[in-house]
Amino acid sequence: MKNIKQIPEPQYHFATYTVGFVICLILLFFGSNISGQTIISGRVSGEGNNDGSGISVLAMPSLNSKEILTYSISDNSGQYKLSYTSSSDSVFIAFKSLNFKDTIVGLSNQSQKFDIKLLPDVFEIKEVSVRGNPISVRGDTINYVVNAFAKAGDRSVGDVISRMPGFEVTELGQIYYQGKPIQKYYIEGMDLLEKRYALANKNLPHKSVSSVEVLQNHQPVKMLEDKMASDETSINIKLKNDVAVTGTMYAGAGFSPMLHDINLTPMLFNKKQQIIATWQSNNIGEDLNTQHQPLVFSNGELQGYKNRKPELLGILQLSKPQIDKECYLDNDANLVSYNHLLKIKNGTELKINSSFYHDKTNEEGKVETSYFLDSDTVTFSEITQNKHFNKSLSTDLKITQNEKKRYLTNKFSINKFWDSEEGLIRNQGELVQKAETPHFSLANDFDILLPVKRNFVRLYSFVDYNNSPQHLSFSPGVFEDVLNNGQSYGQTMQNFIERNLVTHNFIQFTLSRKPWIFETEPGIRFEHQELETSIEKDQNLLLADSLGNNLNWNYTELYLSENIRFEKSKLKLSLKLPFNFQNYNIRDKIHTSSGEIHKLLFTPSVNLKYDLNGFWILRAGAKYNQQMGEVSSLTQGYVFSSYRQLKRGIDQLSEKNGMRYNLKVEFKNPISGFFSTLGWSVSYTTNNLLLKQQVNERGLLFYDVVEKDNRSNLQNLSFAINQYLSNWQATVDFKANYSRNKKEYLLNNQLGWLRNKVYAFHPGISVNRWKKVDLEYSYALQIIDQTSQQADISVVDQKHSGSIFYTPEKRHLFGLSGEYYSTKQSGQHNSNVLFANFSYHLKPSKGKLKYKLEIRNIFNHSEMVRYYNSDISLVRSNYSIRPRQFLVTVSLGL
Amino acid sequence: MSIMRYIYVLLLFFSSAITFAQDYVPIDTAIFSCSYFYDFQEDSLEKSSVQSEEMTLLIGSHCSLFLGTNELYRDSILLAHSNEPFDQNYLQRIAPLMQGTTIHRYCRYHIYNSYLADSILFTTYLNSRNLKVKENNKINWEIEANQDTVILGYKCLKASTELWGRKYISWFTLDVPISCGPYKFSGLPGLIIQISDTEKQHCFTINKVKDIKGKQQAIYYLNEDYAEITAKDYAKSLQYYFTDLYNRVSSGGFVTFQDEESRARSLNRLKSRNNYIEKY
Repeated sequence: MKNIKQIPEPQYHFATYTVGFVICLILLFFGSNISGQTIISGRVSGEGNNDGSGISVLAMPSLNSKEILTYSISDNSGQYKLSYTSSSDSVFIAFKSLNFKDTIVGLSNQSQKFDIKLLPDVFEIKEVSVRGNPISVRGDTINYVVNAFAKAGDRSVGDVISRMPGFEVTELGQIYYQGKPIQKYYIEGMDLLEKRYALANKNLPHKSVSSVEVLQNHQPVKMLEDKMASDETSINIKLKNDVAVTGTMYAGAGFSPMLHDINLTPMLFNKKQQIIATWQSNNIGEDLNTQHQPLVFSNGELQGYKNRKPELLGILQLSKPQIDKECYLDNDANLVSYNHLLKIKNGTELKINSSFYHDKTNEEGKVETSYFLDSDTVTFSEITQNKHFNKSLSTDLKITQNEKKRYLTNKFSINKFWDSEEGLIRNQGELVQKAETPHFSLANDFDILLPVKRNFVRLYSFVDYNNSPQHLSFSPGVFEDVLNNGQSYGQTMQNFIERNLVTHNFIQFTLSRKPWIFETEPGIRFEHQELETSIEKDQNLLLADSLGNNLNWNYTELYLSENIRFEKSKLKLSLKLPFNFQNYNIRDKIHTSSGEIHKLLFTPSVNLKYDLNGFWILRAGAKYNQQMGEVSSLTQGYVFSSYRQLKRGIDQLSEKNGMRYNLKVEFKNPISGFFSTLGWSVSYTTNNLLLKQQVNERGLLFYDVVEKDNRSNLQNLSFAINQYLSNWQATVDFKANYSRNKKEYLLNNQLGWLRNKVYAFHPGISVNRWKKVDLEYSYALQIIDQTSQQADISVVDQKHSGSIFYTPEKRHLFGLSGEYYSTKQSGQHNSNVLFANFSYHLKPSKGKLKYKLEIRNIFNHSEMVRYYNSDISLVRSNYSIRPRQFLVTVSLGL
Repeated sequence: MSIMRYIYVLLLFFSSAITFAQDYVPIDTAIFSCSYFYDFQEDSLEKSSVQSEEMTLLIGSHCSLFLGTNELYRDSILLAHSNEPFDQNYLQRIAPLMQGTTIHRYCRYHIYNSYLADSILFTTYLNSRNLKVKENNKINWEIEANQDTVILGYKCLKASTELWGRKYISWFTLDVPISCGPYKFSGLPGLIIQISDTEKQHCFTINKVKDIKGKQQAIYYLNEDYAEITAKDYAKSLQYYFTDLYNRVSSGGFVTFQDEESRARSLNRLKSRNNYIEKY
């Protein structure tokens, strides 16, 4: 007791403080403390029957410190002993227990004996009960309980997934987990839709789904499980019932004009087969193409084959406003699709995915383009009305055998597009533009994996035939100075025909000597291409060499890629060393051409992933890139890319060289629902060719290519944080992004630098806490600063969006959602728009029918203003949006 | 009676934990009840072999009991019927109630932790014998300063230790100043909310905390004739149990299977149970 001046009777203090804990601060200064071991021991006693055993005694360096120097649990007779090392003058001792008040005392940091008598208290435990924690972890699988995240207005499982912490769903329906696109979308372990998973995600009712499983480091090829680690994430939809007949069925009608919205999507899932069929038809602005087109992104990069349609020609498009597509898309769309997966024995699956899409869309707007020339600014204004007719059929037949001992897959695809479009442009006069852009493709994709002792051999072969005869016409005729000696004339027609056969074959040998894996891949890519372009004037072919192209080429690429991987439980390192020998054999029937080009490219890359403790993951990578340009850019004759643009290339392939570095840190704690990522990337590119742009005072553009080494660089910093608050049943998220790029450009023979900086912030919250009210709010801010020789421009876009759903009782649901956009361009007027939609849902207690009434665009706004910049121009675009509309929908609920 | 015996033996055979007419001795009254999800990898090499079992921790004022939630349920049924005559009807009444209360072999135990005696008593039934293990409950924890998180609304601090051949990371809370936790883990100045080995092969995560002072839930001790062994020996005999079972199944004298495939699968499953929480 010698170190303590005064020990007041604790009771005295306890009586005066009604707060849960008491601080008696008794500090004595015996000069500076020697930093050695301090031992504090003593006895804790209580009143009456409660003895002082089992009490947690903690030593802390300061009052509110998280740090604990040491602790002790008092024994049978209440004795405790703390021994620690600390250099500070004082130390705080906390006594915590079930039967006594929490007590904290401050003592000088000296070895001493300290007894205390505690006052009794009743401990109230904070009860919690999670009916299955909404997010739980089992090994590499994270399980999200769908009910916990579903809101009153949700229909499909996709609506719910977009709200789960860690997830993001883009407008195209692509799902991201922790900032990375998912690899597979399984339903009960089966991959029915592959890259068309948006169809299920948008139509599978969330009420049929019990949970969404996130499969981290998932290896879809069973043969490679446990042998080859995967860094990809897939998700699996767990249904409530093993055998389920479910789906979506609704029909809606409204005005004005006459609106309809029909969706009939029956689904069947059982152990042996899965079927999803659909017929959808609407003119209310819901884009059905996202359920028809396969997503071809994987790993954040465009992957897979070029099965989609190339857009060789097209009418001048309006730039879409940055608002919800439903607000402006003036469509008349139909989608019919049938998807069937059948499991036959030995782990073999047969699959057919067939989809037909038909759409008519209209767009209307006013575009004002200002070109910044040296002396002055040239501004053009035009009113555009476009009609697009899209029709396409896509069918895939696939057989897969995915077993422990064998992996085999073969996929045959047919894609046909019958697309056309038509536009009317009014500036000083009127101009009609028409384009026909059909495309046909046949492809076969074969992949087999065979075990050879402990290793593997993989054989891969891909063959694709494409044919696209495309046409674009303008009437009256354009570029009369160049094409008709300054005389006006009737019609200009651009023809563009491309045909090709593309194959890619390789053998891959995998040698696994844990922790090392060596993959050797010799392969060959071969392409035979034919490209023909010509320009017609009033149906007469123009024979000038400068206006046509006729190119044939064979491209052969022999490559050897060595991939060395080192995989330990926490560290994954991969080094890719690909050597490419590229050989072009080009025949230009009109222009002189270089004929043969040979090139050896070496593009090594290294990637690292380090999993610190399951919470922290660090990724880093570096890549040297060397890339040859497309042969199709060797068109030395002019081609119309729009009625104001003529474009041609030169007899030289562009060559890009560059470095890219990236670094990403992820932190996640699924138990507490916390997810975050911080990423940085930078890339430097040099290109030997530069686009030369020439604008004349009439706003006509000539694009040529000149030989000049030029550089560009891009830096990007992004941050995302996502927290699920279990007390509030709320998901809070915040995203920020900063990017900077710099590149050279050549306009009217003047060389300049273009610098762009983009800042974006995006916080949001979604609350599910109350029984009757669901809330959601998000804000997005984007600032673009652009500097060039001609002008400095800054654009600030802001968007507030919120929604509230109110359920006074089970049968009724009221929803109000609003979006407020504000865009500001330096030196221009502010443009603000408030959109609001109202909905009322009724579900009578009897029967299975549900009713919904919607009023969209309550304030009846008719257009959106948007500013955007290309390197040489500033564009202000007014886009017509859908007027106020009323819609009643009847759906058959589950 | 001979038929009865037969059924009794059968039941014992399939579920060795069911023993009837047991002698339950109340030793404490539970104040709090916590429930944990125990996710564990059966096969140390197979990441997908994760099994899950819900476990219960009953906290009394002098001791705690940790056991499978299904086991607690079974105990309460047997206790409720313990005064009834042990006849054929008894079995008929009990058996349906027991349905669906299977417990993974890795989780079949009662673990009593006495705060006063600083000791842990582990009891189980294996290879036709009642076994007990007595151990000291002292664990050398290292509290990691400035590492905190919030789990289920509890502010948690991080502590780590190394036990039975694995490294563990635990998150405990000072909000509940009870030196308790799942399995044999205790000795921190607060309740363990989550604990997992660094390989994530054995994870306990709390999912429910309830105040049950008013419920009069007794903590029972099952009074049997236990043979005392060491924890290490228990881990060994568990391994022996699976090997023995494997041999019996593979020799075909134990169970007959519909076809070769299901036999192989079942053998594989037995073989893959190689990853008990305690490995020495």
